[in-house]
Amino acid sequence: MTRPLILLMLSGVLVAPGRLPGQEHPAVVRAKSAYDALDFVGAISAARRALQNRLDAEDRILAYEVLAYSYGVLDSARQAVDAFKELIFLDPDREPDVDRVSPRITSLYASALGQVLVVRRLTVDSTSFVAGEGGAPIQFEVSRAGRAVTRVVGQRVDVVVDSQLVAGSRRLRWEGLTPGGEPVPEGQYQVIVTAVEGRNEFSATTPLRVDHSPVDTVGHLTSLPGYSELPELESPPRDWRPLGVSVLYAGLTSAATLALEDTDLGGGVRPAILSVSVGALVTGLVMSVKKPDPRPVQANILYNQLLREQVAQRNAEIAVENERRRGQVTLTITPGRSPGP
Amino acid sequence: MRRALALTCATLVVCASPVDGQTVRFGVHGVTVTHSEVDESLKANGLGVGGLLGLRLGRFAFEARGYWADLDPDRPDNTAFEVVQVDGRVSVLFARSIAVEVGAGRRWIDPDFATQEVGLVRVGILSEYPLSRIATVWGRGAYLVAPQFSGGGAAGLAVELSLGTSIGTPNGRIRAMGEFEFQRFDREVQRRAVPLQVTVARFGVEMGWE
Repeated sequence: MTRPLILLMLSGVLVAPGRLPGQEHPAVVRAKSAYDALDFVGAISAARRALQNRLDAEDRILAYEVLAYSYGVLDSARQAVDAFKELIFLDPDREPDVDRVSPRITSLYASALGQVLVVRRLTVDSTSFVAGEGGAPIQFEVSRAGRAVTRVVGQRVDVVVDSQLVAGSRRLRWEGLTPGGEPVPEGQYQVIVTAVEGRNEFSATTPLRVDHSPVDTVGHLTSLPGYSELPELESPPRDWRPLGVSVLYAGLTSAATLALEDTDLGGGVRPAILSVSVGALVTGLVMSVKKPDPRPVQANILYNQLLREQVAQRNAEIAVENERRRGQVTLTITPGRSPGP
Repeated sequence: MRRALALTCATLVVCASPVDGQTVRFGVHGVTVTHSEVDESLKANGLGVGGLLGLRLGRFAFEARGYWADLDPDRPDNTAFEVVQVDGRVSVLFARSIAVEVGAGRRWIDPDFATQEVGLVRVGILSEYPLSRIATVWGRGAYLVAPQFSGGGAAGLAVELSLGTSIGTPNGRIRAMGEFEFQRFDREVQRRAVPLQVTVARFGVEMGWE
């Protein structure tokens, strides 16, 4: 990679952060100008002079960045690493863009990072969960192996969430409970991760907000998912039995009556037996021709009864569950912006 | 005779109240009666009204019924008469559609001696078959044990047959019915045959309560 290209990239990296040029300290502006003019010695001198002033955090970061990059370009590795270490202490999350700076500068930064103990990339994911039944993910990185103590502080609550020996990255979960097991009150909190290694100690913080809302209750069931009730009545196929039975009853009775009739007594039997027999036959015919009455299907009735018992049992469980949920609270975790270095 | 009919009707109405676990049925009928005695010269026909009270409890059933009819003889020189018949039956179901039935009956004639008054005891079979939820057909056959006649004599053969059908509402509250009933008495008096034959056709409406 040619030097002008590297310088162009470095210039872009230095300009990229969000502050407008007019807001920077004049001494820092001079250092950046010298750097942009490829006067790296002058840039180092200007940056050192700037650091002797009372600079705000952002200006100090810019000054150390010019210093580190300039030493890196001039192959002054030790000074570059020292400047990067100061830069890392000021803003652990600020690092060279590997796509815009030379690998040498990146390796110098990595070397500096390996020599200091800092907590980086501390984030809390936004989430919602029932207090005691879930948690808010917290993640961070420790530049060197050390004990990392994670606390959540705010609203008169100070909870140690985690205390572990950590090397590299760590993911953990905060359940949103006080030491007494109660949901933490609504309000603003700070997540503080303190890494300790020997006499070295570094803390990083990030804010978050906790909001309360009631826990959703479960609706009662009217049927079991995937199961539906079967018809309890079923129309049987057309049946000629009623007509047959009518013919049998009318035929037998008429035949017996006619056989027993004493014709010497002047008759009078036939119109009566005929009228009632015709009535019985017509009734049998109508009952055979009309749509059969639906009949209960015992197997389906038992099946439906079982389903209803299952639904009732499930609804009883849901009622108990809802009663429990009415005593719970949903915590909504919203991460805030990390405070400046 | 009319006093007996009134008493029967009053009993039917008063007793027609439902009791837990029982089925009570009450009905009113129109009847046509054909009454023949000795030979065709003593044949009479007429119309009348009747009633029924039925009580069913499990396999057991009790039925009381009666009718009154005004009969005119076919030959004008014979005497017109009124007849009141009252019957009681108790049945026990012993198979799905078959019941054993025993009962008694009494027939009064007014004016006296216009024809035979009869008292009887019956033993027989009742078969009732449901054609559907709303329709039923039934048949009866009974031997009439030692019937008694106001004019004396005895019957060697005395039988009763009937055929009936009904159709009504699915809950059994109301049903229309028709029934044919035939009685034959081979009565003999001093070894002389004086047969008696009665045919009754009933058509009516019945109401039931459970």
